[in-house]
Amino acid sequence: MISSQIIVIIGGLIAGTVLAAFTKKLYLIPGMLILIPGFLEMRGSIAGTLSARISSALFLKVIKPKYSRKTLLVNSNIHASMFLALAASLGLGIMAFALNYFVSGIFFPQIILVPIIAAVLSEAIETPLTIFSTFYIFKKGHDPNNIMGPVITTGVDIISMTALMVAMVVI
Amino acid sequence: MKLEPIKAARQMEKYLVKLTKIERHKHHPLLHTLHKKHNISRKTLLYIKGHTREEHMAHKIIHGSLRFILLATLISALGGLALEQVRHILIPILPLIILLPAFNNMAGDFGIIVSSRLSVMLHEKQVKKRFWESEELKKLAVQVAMISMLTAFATAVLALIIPGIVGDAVNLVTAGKVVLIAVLDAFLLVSLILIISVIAGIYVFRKKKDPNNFLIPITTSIADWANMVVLALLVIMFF
Repeated sequence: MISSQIIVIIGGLIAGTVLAAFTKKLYLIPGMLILIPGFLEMRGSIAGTLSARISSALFLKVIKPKYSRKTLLVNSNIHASMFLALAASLGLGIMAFALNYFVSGIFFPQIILVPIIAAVLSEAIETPLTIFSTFYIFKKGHDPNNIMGPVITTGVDIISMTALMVAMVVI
Repeated sequence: MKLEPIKAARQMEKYLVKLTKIERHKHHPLLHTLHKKHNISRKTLLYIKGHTREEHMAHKIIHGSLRFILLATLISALGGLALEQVRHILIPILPLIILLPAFNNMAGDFGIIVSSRLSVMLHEKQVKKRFWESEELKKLAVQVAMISMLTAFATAVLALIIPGIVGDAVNLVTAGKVVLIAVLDAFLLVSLILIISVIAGIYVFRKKKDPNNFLIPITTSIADWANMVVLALLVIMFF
């Protein structure tokens, strides 16, 4: 319990430091603090379930721990995770826009684009990273289910926060 | 004679396709028939059933996960709304900003730890009717509260060191407030998770259902949301 917490905390603090580096920009875009917890939650859920599904397929010998374009199962998982990320980001963006408008009275539709751009950026890095780390851990003879949880949460937090900040700067 | 294996394979494929179409709540005898007749493990059959034919898999994953991911995302966003209301106080205090993602993760983790351990205790009948008298439950509460507060303390100290390194250190009073907010937030959050888990867990268990299936999604969602709300309230109180 404590060792996994240490990994999670270190990852969280690195992600926090990335966020702290952009504090001046946070003032400029209203609603960013609404987006951050939701975006991190969404990325963690997608990458976590992706890793769990790949692990199950590896243990059941449905796939080999090697990427091939012909492996339908891995490709289907990649497509599903891309779609989920984009759909959830759109939902999150709309929610942030609506809360901004109805609660704070700020009309800022560009905020819908922030999670979508960030999702595209983070998806491009996180999905291959998740798949190849799961394969690597499995090949080394470990159970990816035990290791990938804290590792994914840590990695995803740092990458997603950076992607979110890049998207914020772009907007 | 050579046609026999082909016939068997065709029959098996027919069974597998049929298997994927069965509603999940039905425990169809076909699963057992396939296991016995073709010597395919029950785990593999369950996997095939869960994931359907490969060309339909992406659709099935999206169909199964989208609503839950959306719900979890939107609940967290509602928690973020509480933070947005105190952004003018929060943003200038760098250690609190650094703490945000770490605390976001910690809340969900404590929800999972409490829920899964409580579920085991319920299954092993370690929780009495008068749950407040259960020694094991008291032990769990003390253990989780201690670990959460210690973790929060250590995280807050580290979050205070980072701005100090880049020459943006906060004064002693602010540092003390940040540590106090972190420890109080962890304590309040764990207490809330424990109360909800115990009440919901006992209720679900009495209904002869597995608490694992209900408690983890409930506690993690509440923890994510409540963490941000509690943090926002503490920030208003202390600053």
